[in-house]
Amino acid sequence: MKKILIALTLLGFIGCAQDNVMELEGRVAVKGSSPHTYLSIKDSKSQKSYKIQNPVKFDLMKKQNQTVKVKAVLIKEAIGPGFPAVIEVVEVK
Amino acid sequence: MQLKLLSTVLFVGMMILAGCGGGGGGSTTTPDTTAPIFTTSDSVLIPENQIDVITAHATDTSAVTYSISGGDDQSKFFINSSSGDLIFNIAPDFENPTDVGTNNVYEVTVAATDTSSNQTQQMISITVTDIDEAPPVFTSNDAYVTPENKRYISSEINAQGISEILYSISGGDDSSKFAIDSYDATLMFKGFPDYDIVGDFDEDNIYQATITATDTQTNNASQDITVTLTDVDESIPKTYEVVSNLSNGVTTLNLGSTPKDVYLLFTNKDTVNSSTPIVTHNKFVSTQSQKEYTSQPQIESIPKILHAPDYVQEFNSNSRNIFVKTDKNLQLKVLEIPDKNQDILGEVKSFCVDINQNTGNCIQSTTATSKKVVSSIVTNQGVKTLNVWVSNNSFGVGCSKTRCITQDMVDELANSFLHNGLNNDIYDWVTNVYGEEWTSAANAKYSNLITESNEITILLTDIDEDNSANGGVVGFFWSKDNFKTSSIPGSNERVMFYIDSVMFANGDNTWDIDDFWPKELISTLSHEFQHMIHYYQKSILLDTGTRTWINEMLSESTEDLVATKIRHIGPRGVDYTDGSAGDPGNTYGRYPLFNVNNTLSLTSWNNQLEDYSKVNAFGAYLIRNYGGEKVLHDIMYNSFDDEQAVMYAVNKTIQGTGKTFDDLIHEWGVSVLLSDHIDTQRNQYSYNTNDFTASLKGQTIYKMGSINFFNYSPEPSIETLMNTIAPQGNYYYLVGKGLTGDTNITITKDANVVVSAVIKE
Repeated sequence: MKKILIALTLLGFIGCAQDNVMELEGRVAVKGSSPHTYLSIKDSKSQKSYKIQNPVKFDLMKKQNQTVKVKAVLIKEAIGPGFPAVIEVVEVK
Repeated sequence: MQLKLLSTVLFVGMMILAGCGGGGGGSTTTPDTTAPIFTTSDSVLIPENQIDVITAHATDTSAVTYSISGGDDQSKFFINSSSGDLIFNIAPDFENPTDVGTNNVYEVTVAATDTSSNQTQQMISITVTDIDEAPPVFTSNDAYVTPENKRYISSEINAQGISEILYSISGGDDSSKFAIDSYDATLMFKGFPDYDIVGDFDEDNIYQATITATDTQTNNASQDITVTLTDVDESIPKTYEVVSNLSNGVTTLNLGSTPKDVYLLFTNKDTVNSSTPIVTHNKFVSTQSQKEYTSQPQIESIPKILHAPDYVQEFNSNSRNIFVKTDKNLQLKVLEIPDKNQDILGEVKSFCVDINQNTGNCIQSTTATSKKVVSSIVTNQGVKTLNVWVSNNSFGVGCSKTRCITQDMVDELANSFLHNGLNNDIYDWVTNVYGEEWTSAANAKYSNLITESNEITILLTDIDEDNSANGGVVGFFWSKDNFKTSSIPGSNERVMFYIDSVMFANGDNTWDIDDFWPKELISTLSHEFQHMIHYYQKSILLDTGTRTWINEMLSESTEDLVATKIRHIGPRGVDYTDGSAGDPGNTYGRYPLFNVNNTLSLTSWNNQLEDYSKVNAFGAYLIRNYGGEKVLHDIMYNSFDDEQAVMYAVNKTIQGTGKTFDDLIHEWGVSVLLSDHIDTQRNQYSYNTNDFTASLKGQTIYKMGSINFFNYSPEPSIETLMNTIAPQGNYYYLVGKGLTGDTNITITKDANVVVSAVIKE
């Protein structure tokens, strides 16, 4: 019973995460003024910029100025200028 | 009968008298016998040449009127009976006193009378003080000579006076042709004068103007000057040649009999590394041996400090969103930030200097004391206040740091950034280019941003707590402080930046503001101030988050622009009075590091020192070839976040019309190679004119000194072997030195790579 509950909970989390998955395509660039820089992707469709929380995982810093296609999970909404919405990239296509 | 009548009259009279005592209680009115009490000082100092003295004031329960009632010099004065304003009838002259004692001490007695005619008198002694009435004296020459096609004329105009002097063009037949910097008297033509198309009134290529120097007491002096324009023989062949856009295959360069150095400049237009081009060339014809240059990785120059504390970088690279509002476990630390406009000298408070990257809570704070409040300073952006705070552990002789801040240092820092007068401090020079740093429009647009306060705060603190006088971080602007604590708990809710206290206090022997590190930190103020304005003008008002390489380029170029004004070697590393490219073997400034890293991608940013050096070099190229401070302004004022922002500005210029970003990077690379030549000003390759280049905005002239990358140690990295070319980067290749005759070059390259031959005598 316990195992079933744990499994169901995990499925629930996965399901929730899937709801937040976005597909973005755009140029990757470092933004902000040093030292408050961050790697961002600007989605060419929505023109919305996102801060990439995990640039190291897919070596995205090396893809600066390139157009990439990613699947990402929205972590937090934007709060204001200089503090855009934050995403976690789960797949680079 | 008569007795009865008399008794009746007496009785009625007594009744009447009793009634006159006033109503039911039977009380009487107490006459006011209390005289007014003066609160005015009985002695006052006033400078000569003005009539206002003092406002007399006396307190009383009834209205008071004022009059002059005596005194040896009473005839010299007038007083307003209702307001108490006391004035001289004629403004006193210190040199010609008219008081009875002829000692510039005037005595007058003022009376204050209330409505009950109670009166008090007070004698007031007015001492008239001397003010400087000596006009400034010009110590500079009145005749200048300058070649045609150049706007900058001279920085030598100078007048001596007791107080700060402002310069202006006040007359002369050709006054409209000139501009002068009101602060440092830099003189320039407004346009590019042409010797062959005579533009002066007398049509003799001798331009005439009158310069006026005015001190703070409005004493002034004038000097008539002439500027003689000389002809430049434009038929003289240039000492270089650029053969553009070499295609794949063989190119033959006809070098003639004069030995020449031949380079290839490769530019990668793509956003990925190119494949390695293949370059072959025939042997040289000249009898001189072919020299090889190799990269010299050993930098001996003083490293320019990265404005990037590690923990702030971590904040950005690591981050979850820091604005978690729904996390019930979040323990918010709400800092008690006083309302603005309430900084009090000597006040102590806590500043948050680091925040948790996930929550925005403050995780490190410093206790600081208000050490300077410079208020009510009139600027072109309105009235401003500067607050300087110093961490307690950094202040005072014997503080716990390697170097300690003193009040003198605070005063100098404040004075450099903001003081009375226009066009004479960092605030003026930087806002003149980029505009205001903060207004109510920010909060109107985003309610979680702080409101307007017209105040800027500088916090002097040991950044990183590294206690280092040898380097480290020297300063930064952090936009977290522009948010309300309801959004970012660790916000200081101020328009502010942070300056490293230990490095600022790091003088040469006894501390002086003109020592290297203090002056470097003053330069840093201009750098960080651009970031502050950029955040407001571009991120907020234009909703555009600029790419870091552009934002940093603007800040680096700001330091370049103001270097001569703050009297610093600046990023160029050359004395601010020297418009030439300086001497060989220079290890100062940004360019030694650029020379070793000149093949980096221009548009990638990795928070390394070489990133600052490369964008500095590019920005220096832009302002010297595309309009000075205007190109920087125009880069900020558009809604592009990438290289289009640069091209928007460049394309607005005549010389930049129709160019692409790839064109610009390539031109830049050619300019680097040609920076050891001074005859490049006839085209767009001009880093080096052997003199200053000038641009004018309002009353301020910005001077940019010449740059020769070959004057720095190490010299530019120029390869003799090909390699991949970085995205949007340049690659410098040496074919050979001292070549003559025909040289055949065979190139195989990607389509996205552009290559030009640069041939130099």
